[in-house]
Amino acid sequence: MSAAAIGFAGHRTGVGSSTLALYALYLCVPIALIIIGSFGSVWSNTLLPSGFTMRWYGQLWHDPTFQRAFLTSLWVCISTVIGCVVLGVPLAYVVATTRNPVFGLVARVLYLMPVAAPAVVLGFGYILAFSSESLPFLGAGWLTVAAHIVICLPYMLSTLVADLRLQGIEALEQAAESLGAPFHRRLIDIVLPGLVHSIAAGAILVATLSIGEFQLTNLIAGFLHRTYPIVLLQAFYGATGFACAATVILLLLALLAACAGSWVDRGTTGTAGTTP
Amino acid sequence: MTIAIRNASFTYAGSGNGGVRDISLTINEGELLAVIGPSGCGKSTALKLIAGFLLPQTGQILINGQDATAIAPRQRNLGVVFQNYSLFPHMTVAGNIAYPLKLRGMSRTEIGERVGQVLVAVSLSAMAERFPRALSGGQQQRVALARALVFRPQALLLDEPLSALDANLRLEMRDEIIRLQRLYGIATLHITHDQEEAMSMADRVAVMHEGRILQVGPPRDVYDKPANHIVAAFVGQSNLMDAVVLDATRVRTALGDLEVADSVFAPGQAATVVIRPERIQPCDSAVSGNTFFGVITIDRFLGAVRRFDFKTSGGQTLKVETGRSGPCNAIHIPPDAVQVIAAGAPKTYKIADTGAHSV
Repeated sequence: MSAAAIGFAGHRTGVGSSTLALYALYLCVPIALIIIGSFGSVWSNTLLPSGFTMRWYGQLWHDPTFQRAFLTSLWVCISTVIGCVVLGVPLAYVVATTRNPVFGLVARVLYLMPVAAPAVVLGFGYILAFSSESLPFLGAGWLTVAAHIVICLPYMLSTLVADLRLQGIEALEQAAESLGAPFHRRLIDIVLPGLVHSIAAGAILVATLSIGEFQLTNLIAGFLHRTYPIVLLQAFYGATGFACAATVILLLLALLAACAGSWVDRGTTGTAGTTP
Repeated sequence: MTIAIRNASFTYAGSGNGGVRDISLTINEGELLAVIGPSGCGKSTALKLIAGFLLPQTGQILINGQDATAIAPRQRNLGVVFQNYSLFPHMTVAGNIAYPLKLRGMSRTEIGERVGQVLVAVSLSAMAERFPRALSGGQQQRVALARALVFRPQALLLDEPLSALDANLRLEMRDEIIRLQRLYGIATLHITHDQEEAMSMADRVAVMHEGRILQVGPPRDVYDKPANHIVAAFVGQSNLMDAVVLDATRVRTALGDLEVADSVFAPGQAATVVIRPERIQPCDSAVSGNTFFGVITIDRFLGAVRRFDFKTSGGQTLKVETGRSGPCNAIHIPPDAVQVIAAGAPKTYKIADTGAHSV
């Protein structure tokens, strides 16, 4: 390599490192400040808080509103993940294997619609549809789950459809069929085991999206079924330390979902992916 | 066990290419029948019709004389090896091979025995617990063959099974497929676009073009007696040219008048002349008739042989294949090397190359 080329490569690496460092700073500083703030006793008009306290976490622990919201977020998240898997797997299979181009296009447009439409539009739609006398379900917990499924399903589907196409599922199924496998055996023996990794990856995505979802939930969740991000908004009107502690818990919840997904994926890799 | 297609037609919706038109073909017991033809000629469609992945719009699929047209692929009991092998990535080699046996409800002991036997047959006993992605292309190919053979199918269908392998491995796997096919004595349909592969492996070869079967016969017959100019152009190297029959031993071509061993065509009839490059003899002086002077325009060294383009003083170019080195200013075409077939050659004389249409 010539000196000029080395110089250029070095320059390029330098630019890359600086950009990465700036991005990390931009991403990490607010999170670091929130974590620091959650342990600070007083924080007003200074860069950093003063004093150390666990008071905010204690208050949070004993606050029934936050307790309820935490549990609501957990069950909404788990139900959303289950719903997305149950609906997503068969839908993805149909989309990936259909030979009808019109059906494929319609299905793709339909399942990508929730990504394209702003959450606030969906929210108003839900309000209009479910606050009528014939469908008086606005505020019900299951409606929040249904709304989360609508928002998260496209992400699960995209992951699954891409994986099915990458695997060449049609060819694998033809092979299984030629070996004597009826439809249900092909589904159980070939399609589902091949999808384990992408189901896990999709579940992580869905869980993190569901836990952090605010816009739509804020419009449709009832008082008894408010999720954690909704009650977190209230914390911002109180003491800064308390708001920081409540935010840290949400971060931990999202982190927990991501770790759980990774752990499931690693578990499946251990059984299906190792080569002696 | 025989497999047959009877007057089957199939066209893909919205496409004029790749289907088959009124084809009939029989794979006899223990026979390896190769179907060759260029891309889009319908050879893979023919295999899919036999396998049951496609339903013919007209005609029948017969398995051992019985109409199997409406039978589902899983009930046809045919072993299929796909171009990309289609091994199940989450199953081990043994798991892949055992799968069709599990589907048939065999006992664990019986499955173990059968898988062991077939692994020995494909020399992969040491790889039983590996996953497909840890195998080379050739090993994956063997697993696919083992999986297609282990349940003792009625016939074996191979859909371009060697096309994903590199050249050396392809040669090795040709012998391996022949060995296994003979070992199991199973009727086999081998789809390929590689005419050399087909000629070297098959008991009989079927040449397809634009959805039709043009000729079926032993490789030697198809090579030596092509049914028409398309077969002559696709199978092996050939020099093709328009001709008019003068009498039983002479034809007139752009090259000049050629002596032929025997022509069944009437005088004055238009015909096509096929001359294989390896039958043309380089010489230094006029041998007798059918000698042409000229110069070498392109010389290719191919290892064991040399192939050159020879431009005659009349301006025609012939492809010549010889083991002889050194310069060459004349060529001789023995009369028995000139095949006279039904007319249909290109209007202007040109050389047909392997795997390509010259029409």
